[in-house]
Amino acid sequence: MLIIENLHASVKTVNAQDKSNLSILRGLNLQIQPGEVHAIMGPNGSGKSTLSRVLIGDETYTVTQGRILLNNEDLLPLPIEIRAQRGIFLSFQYPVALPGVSNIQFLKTAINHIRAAQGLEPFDAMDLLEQAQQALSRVGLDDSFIQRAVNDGFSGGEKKRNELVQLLLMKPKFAILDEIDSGMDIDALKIVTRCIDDLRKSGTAFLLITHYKRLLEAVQPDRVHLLRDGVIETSGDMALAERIERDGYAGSAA
Amino acid sequence: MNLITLLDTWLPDLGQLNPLQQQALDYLQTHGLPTRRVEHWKYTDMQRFLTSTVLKSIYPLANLQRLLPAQFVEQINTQQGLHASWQARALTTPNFLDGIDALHHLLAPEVLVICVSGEQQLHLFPSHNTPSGLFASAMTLELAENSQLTVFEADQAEQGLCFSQLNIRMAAHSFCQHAWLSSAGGLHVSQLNVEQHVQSEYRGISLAIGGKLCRREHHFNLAGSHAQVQLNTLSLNQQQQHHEMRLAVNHQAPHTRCDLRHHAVADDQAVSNCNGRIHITKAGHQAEGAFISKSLLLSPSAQINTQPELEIYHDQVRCSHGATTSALDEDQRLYLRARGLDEHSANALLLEGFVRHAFDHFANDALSTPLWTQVLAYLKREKNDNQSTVV
Repeated sequence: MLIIENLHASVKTVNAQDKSNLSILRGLNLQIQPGEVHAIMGPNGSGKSTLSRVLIGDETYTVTQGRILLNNEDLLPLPIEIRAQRGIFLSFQYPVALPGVSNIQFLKTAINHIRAAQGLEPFDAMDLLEQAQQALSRVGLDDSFIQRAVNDGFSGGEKKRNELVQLLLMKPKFAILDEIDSGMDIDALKIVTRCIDDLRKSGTAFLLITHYKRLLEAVQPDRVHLLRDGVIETSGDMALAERIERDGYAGSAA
Repeated sequence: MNLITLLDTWLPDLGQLNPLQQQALDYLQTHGLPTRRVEHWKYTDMQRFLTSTVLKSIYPLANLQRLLPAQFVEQINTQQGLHASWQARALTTPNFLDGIDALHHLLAPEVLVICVSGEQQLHLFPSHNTPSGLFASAMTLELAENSQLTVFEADQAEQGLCFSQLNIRMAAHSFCQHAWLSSAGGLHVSQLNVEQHVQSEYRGISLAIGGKLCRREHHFNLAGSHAQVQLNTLSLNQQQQHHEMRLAVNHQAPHTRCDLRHHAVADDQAVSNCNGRIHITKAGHQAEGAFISKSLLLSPSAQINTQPELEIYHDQVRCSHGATTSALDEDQRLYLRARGLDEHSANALLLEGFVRHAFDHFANDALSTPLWTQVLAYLKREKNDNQSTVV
């Protein structure tokens, strides 16, 4: 259902003197079916986070070649919010704080935008509150987080759990979890695993970006890919993740 | 035509001038109105706003005593713990601060003094009955020891020019919660002077949302030990509106505290200025002071000027100040859009969050609710450029 074909993407360089674009993705191909979990590993600078940003439609990046299809719809002409409304979700590596915007206000606004795009009525406020409380409980956050400003004053682990709350409530078709395991303790990893397991049963496909196999051991992904220099160098099963963990990226060259 | 030449035509309406009014008139004729060369008028050029049209509209004169319904004072005097009376004004400083101060003394020769004891609530609408014209008011609230006052004050002159001054004198252990609102379309120049004695506490919020011109000064004199002030000011403007918020705290006693927070949003071609000044005297042993200003620019043509100042004459104090000015944060906008909000909705939610943050530290719902109603009206306003709403 998600098809990435020959994807090339670049970003503007930060050097003001140099107006050229820096090419990061250089012909990436990937297919993920509903309910599948794929993991991407790769050395720093290989293009993992760029791939996630390009998938959601971050305008900082320019797609120079290739296609991204979700359920046969070309995503590339669509802006960020429309892609989110179509069911693309990114759990950010560094979620930003929104001072003054309470979690419940944010969830209500976001979910109702997605529902409106799908031709659905706005969520009943009490139902949403109840579901939000359940989601918070599932990720191990107490009810006070419902009224707190989004990610404002949250610890690193709390921010990641708050991303999971949004994931559970939005039930996307395709979710990218960008280093969700960073800053998370072993109990939190079990929570991530449970969330993924529950959602994949209802058809959500996942792309996990990680450096460590401990998350993958818990989740047991369908495929593991090694990304290097903007292309998928090799793909395999958990054995690839174990080889990368044992030999490092340098020792895992195809 | 300028305001000084207009004074002659006003004089018959002012009747017999008392010595202070005569002194004010002399001062005005000698010094005129403050120009931008005067440091504390650096950001506001009064002459620019006193156009011929405005000056013609502010005749005839009116002042508080004539305009306030007589029953307002009578009603106050029927309440236990409140007593109101008119008194002649006197200068609290060696001379007039500037031409505006002199003009205010000329136009409002008397001050309505309200003595407060026990636990009280007051609603003050000093310009409530002045849809247009020139208006000047002076009030003093005298809080007795251990008294508690909740006061809502609004400057609502739709047109013309409105000067208002509120003085609050807080005796030991008194507590005051105060909300001030300027929401109408005229020219507003107002001043709050608070004198605080031992362990008195002032908590206030000031919202400037209206006015072609709105200039608000807040002066606190912390004269008693452990006196503390917490003040939130918020300026929301658009089109060609010009706002200036001035916050000044003078720590004259040990263990005094101030917490000053300013938020501003400027859109279109609006100008928003803020000066936050903390002055700690040699008597301010272990005083604590903080001033923070956060401003949002919604348009490339809007302008924000922020001027934090610290003046400290004691070593054992804790003081801080900071100021930020920016457009809406791109990372925050991206985060919201990645959750399905279109650009317009993402901007609106961030803007509302920014403004709501200004209310976080003011926990009196009765006072903040009417202010928040005005804030929502600003957030939902029609934009001139494309007729789209902001929220």
